[in-house]
Amino acid sequence: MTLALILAQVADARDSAAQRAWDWLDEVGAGGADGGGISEWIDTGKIPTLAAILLFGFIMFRAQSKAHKGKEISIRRIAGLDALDEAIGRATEMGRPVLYVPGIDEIKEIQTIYSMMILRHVARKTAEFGTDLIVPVRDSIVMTFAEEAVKAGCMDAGRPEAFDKDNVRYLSNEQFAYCAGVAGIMAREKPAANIMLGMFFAESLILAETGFMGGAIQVAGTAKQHQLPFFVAACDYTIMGEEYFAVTAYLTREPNLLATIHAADILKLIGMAMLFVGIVLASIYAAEWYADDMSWIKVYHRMFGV
Amino acid sequence: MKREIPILLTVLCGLTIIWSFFSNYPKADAANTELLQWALIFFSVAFILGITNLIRVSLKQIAAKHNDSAYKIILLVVMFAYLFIGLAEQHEWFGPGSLFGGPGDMTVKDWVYRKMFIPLQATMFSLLAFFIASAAFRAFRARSMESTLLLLAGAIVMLGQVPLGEQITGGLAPRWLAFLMVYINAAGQKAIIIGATLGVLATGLRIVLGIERSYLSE
Repeated sequence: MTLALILAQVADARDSAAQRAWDWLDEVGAGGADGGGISEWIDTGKIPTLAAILLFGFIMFRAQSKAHKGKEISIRRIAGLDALDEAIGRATEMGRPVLYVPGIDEIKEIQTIYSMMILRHVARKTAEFGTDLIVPVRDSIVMTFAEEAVKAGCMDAGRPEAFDKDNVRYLSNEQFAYCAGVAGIMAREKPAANIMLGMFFAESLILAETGFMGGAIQVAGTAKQHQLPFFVAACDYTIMGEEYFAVTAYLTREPNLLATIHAADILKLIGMAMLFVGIVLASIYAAEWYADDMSWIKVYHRMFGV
Repeated sequence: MKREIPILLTVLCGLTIIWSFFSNYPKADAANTELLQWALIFFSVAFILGITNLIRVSLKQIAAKHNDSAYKIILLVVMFAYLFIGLAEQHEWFGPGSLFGGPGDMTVKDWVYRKMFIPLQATMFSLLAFFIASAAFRAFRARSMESTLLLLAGAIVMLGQVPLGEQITGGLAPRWLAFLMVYINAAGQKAIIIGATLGVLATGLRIVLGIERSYLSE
């Protein structure tokens, strides 16, 4: 009897919470029509995205604080990143330059910004080894970033004189003109290592195959999933998807950066759990296996559209 | 200050853009539009830097009688000639209706673009067909379990795309193709997209919050 009462109270509390959530969704959804309510300040359709970002930020800062207290954050071995040093070492042994292609997108693309960060590490290594680094670019703003990144890399290595301004080369804003220019550098200057990291489009395979024909060791990486098969087919090592955004953390092992990788992993686990719950709830909703008019299933359906 | 001011500007601009993305407040949108206009101005001005770099590197190689000197001379001549033709058309230096005057049926600028530049671009693009064949030849060699799976998947996709494949498999190839593309391929692609999106989010937050500073020369 007591158990039945407790279960009834739990069911009441659940229904009343679901009703409140439903009413809140009504309130934020209706606010936009007359310009009042929360929707004047926040686009209510983007609340799940905002919640995910805030959650990510919270997890990231927690992981950072743990890392500062000495907790070790491990990161799995990524063959493509280990190969960066190998490629630069090989170029040094052969006395030939390293070619770094930062993709063809503008600096507003996050992959290009990230490519500049990796370029700094590559420039440090080439400066340490005394190897030439050629960086052809498609965009003028990217060119200025690339110059700064190479200069900073040389400074990091303690060899500022290793920076050669003429090796950061603006070629063309046009996709295939740039592609032809890079292919020309590969054919004429015969770099021993081609590192292609950034945002690539149709030129990816042309560059990778030209590099292969030149006999260079090739490391490529992008988060653009349509170009990944080309790089996998034509390059020695491919850094794919999220691995690409782990490069600086992997190379520097700096706790702050490792913490963001850790946070992304935790968010991925949460995402997987939500996907599983969503699949179950969407199936129940589609099959109309729920009895109440107002239930969490309907609230979930309304919030996430499953 | 050389380090702090750029970080402060990055944080401010980043937060403004995030605010405009999540907010319906009209001033947020106006601030975002203003920032984008500034960016456009920067891009336009920076174009001059690119051209300067191109001229400097080319002239140095020509002066040093580098092996590529001939290419560099052609590059500079074509670049300045096309710039002249474009300016002549824009400002009607040779009068409207003349070859350089535009907008005629086909001005010199249009002719160079349509009859030279577009075919050259198409030539580069068409190389892809040959490169796909050579890359596929290497990738599809059944040397390991993974490459054998790749070979099988590739064969099914090719057979499923052509009528002959449908005929010789009794109509099964298009169904296998659909299964591969809709379930296996789409699931793999979505996994990569989700991972990459989280990477983008992590990197964006690191930059906006000033944790990642290696893009700045310190």
